[in-house]
Amino acid sequence: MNRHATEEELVDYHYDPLQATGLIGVHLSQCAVCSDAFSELRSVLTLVGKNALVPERSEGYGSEVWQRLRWQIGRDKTSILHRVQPAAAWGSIAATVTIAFLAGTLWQRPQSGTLQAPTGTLAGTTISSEDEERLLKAVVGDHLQRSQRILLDVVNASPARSSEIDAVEDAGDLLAANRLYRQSAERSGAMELEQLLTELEPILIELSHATPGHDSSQLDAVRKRVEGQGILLKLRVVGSQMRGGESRSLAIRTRTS
Amino acid sequence: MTGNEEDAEDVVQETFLRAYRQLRNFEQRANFSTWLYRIATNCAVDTIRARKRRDGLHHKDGGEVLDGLASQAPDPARLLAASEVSTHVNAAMGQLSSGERTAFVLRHFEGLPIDEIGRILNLRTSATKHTIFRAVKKLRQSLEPLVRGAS
Repeated sequence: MNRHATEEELVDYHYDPLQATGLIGVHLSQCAVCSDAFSELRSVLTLVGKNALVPERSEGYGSEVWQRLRWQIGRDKTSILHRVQPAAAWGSIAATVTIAFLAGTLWQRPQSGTLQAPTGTLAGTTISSEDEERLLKAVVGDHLQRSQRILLDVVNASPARSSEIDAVEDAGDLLAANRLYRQSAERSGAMELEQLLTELEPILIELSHATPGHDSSQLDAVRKRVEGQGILLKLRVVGSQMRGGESRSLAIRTRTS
Repeated sequence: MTGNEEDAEDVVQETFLRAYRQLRNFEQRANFSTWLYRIATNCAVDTIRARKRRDGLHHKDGGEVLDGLASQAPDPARLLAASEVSTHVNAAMGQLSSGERTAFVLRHFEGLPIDEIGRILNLRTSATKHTIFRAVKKLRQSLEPLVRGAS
């Protein structure tokens, strides 16, 4: 390079030395004028980085924002759940979920779910369509919450901690449940839910195939996918709506047979 | 971007609310963070516009209406009196146009690549680069005396 570097080239080089032409790096090591100019540029940008007023936020900031949002979202009439045809769609999904529940296919492992109701207590019960819908929302909401928790673990883990994540084991369980809900949602036309579960599925597959405790690059790939698709926000929004009635208990009327 | 913490809080909240409402419009081809940044940028711009209306200032040119609106540059007397470096830095940041400040913040503080910033701001790569360059140049002009003085 037989000329001095332009200011623009120096700015490029500062932010992305690997992308900038390699000639600049070589030139800077040989040209005192450009080297001085680059040092001055770096000093200014460092000064900006260290002194610009960027308010500090605590770790709980995300939750604070979410709490404020929940109130507004709760009032939002364009709720995703309201867009689903309630009677037909939820009824169909609820039926599937109930069958799966009764069959005990999803929550056999005591440590894997928060829905601990043993199949025996549901056997011989009559569930109204309204209760079915509530049950469905609770069950799918729980599924989305667990998925969110696992993905948060993956996203927040430092590379050094990747080996400690136990999400890999849980992902297998969630994957089975996810497929069931997705198919049900598809059949019943709950498109928003189906879309979310469809997006979630490959992530769970990838996660469940990651080698536990070893290959952090697999988890990195999952992390990138999660961040790229914004799946966490979607899980949070839809999951929150599903659990909207969490303060209400499921009114399952038991029929003595 | 807003140059004001309270406005920034409102922008954060409004951004996520808009994102929630427009979630079904999010295209899977796009990167979610780019989409979210774009919403945040639009919210910030709306906030700055609203503040300007509130303050009773009127500009005719819609394209340039944002330039300098978030400026919190203190007057020379205040600047001279201020001893803290951060005051100078924020004054310098306040002198950037809205577009320059956004592009610079995304590049310098968020570390986003040029092409992603371009997608957020709807600018071509060359225009994005140039906007960032203009911002850096202005900051250098404002802050180099400070750096030289310190050294």
